[in-house]
Amino acid sequence: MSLFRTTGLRAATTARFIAPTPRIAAAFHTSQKRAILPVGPQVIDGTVNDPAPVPAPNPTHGSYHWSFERLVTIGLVPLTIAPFAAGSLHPITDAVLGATLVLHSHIGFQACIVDYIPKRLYPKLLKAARWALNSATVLVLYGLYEFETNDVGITEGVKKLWKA
Amino acid sequence: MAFRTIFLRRSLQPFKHAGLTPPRITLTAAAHQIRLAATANPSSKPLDDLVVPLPKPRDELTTPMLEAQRRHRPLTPHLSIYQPQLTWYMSAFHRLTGLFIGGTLYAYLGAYAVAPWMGWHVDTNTLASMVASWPVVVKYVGKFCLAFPATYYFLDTIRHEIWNFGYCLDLKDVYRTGYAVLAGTAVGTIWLMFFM
Repeated sequence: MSLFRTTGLRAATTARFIAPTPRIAAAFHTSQKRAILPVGPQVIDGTVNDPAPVPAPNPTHGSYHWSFERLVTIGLVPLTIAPFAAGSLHPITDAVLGATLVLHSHIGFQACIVDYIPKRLYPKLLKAARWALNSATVLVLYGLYEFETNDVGITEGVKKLWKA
Repeated sequence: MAFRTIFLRRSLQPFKHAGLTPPRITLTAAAHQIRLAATANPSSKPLDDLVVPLPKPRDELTTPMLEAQRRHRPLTPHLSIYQPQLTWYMSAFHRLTGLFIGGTLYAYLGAYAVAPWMGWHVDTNTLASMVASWPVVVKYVGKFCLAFPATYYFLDTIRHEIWNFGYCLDLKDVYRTGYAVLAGTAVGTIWLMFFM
């Protein structure tokens, strides 16, 4: 690279960069390239030298969420053993089991969304996924209510299918 | 061996001791350069004023270039090269079984919710008569497909909760509890399939 500014150098007045057509060289690879997924979107917020932003701490999304998740999970253990121990469940206990299962599943699906759809790279997809999960949970809770009201309940239902 | 200096290196002394003749020394281009730093003409001006510093790279120009470059770079292998271990295999299976059980629950209750509008019949009586019409092998396959993930997930959740309260966190206990979960899954699945 020349250290001298040539007289023909044009000052870059426009801030646009038009990406060149990709020229992927057929380089020699010692091992087979096995990509599970294609490269995702590459987004750089600010410059490469800016530190990654640390989200503001919020106990609702942090400590309280964790504690609530623990309560639900630990509450589920005796609730799941109860049908096997008691044989059949009172409809209200059955409904509580169902609702706690749906709540636990919702928290689990939320964790998967947060893990696999980072906000910086896929902001719209993240919003859509959260919206879809919330709608699905509302629908499922309504379906659980209908199931407990019109049908025999989760414990009896699984028993019926098992012994069919 | 080509030598880039006209001086005989100390490392060549052993040749002399062994009675061998040292290899012929060839003068390379570097040896022809005459470095006159010490004897430079003091009155010659340095070339600094002819050197114009390059403009600082502007991030709004370089960042899109970098993003475009990265889009064509291969992803570094991760899942395909990590040594199979009980720890991460069980963790992945925990997530898979959890998604399967939760997905089945959501799918059934969601279908039950919209069934009146879609004209479906997914109540337990209809499903039970459908299951009753299956051959025995298919029934047991179906039982396995529900019992195995549910048992594994239930036992591994207990293991996770043990960790969440700070117990069994060193590697030995992780492996011990892991094997206990696998054994419990086998026993529980067989019990649910054949004795329930």
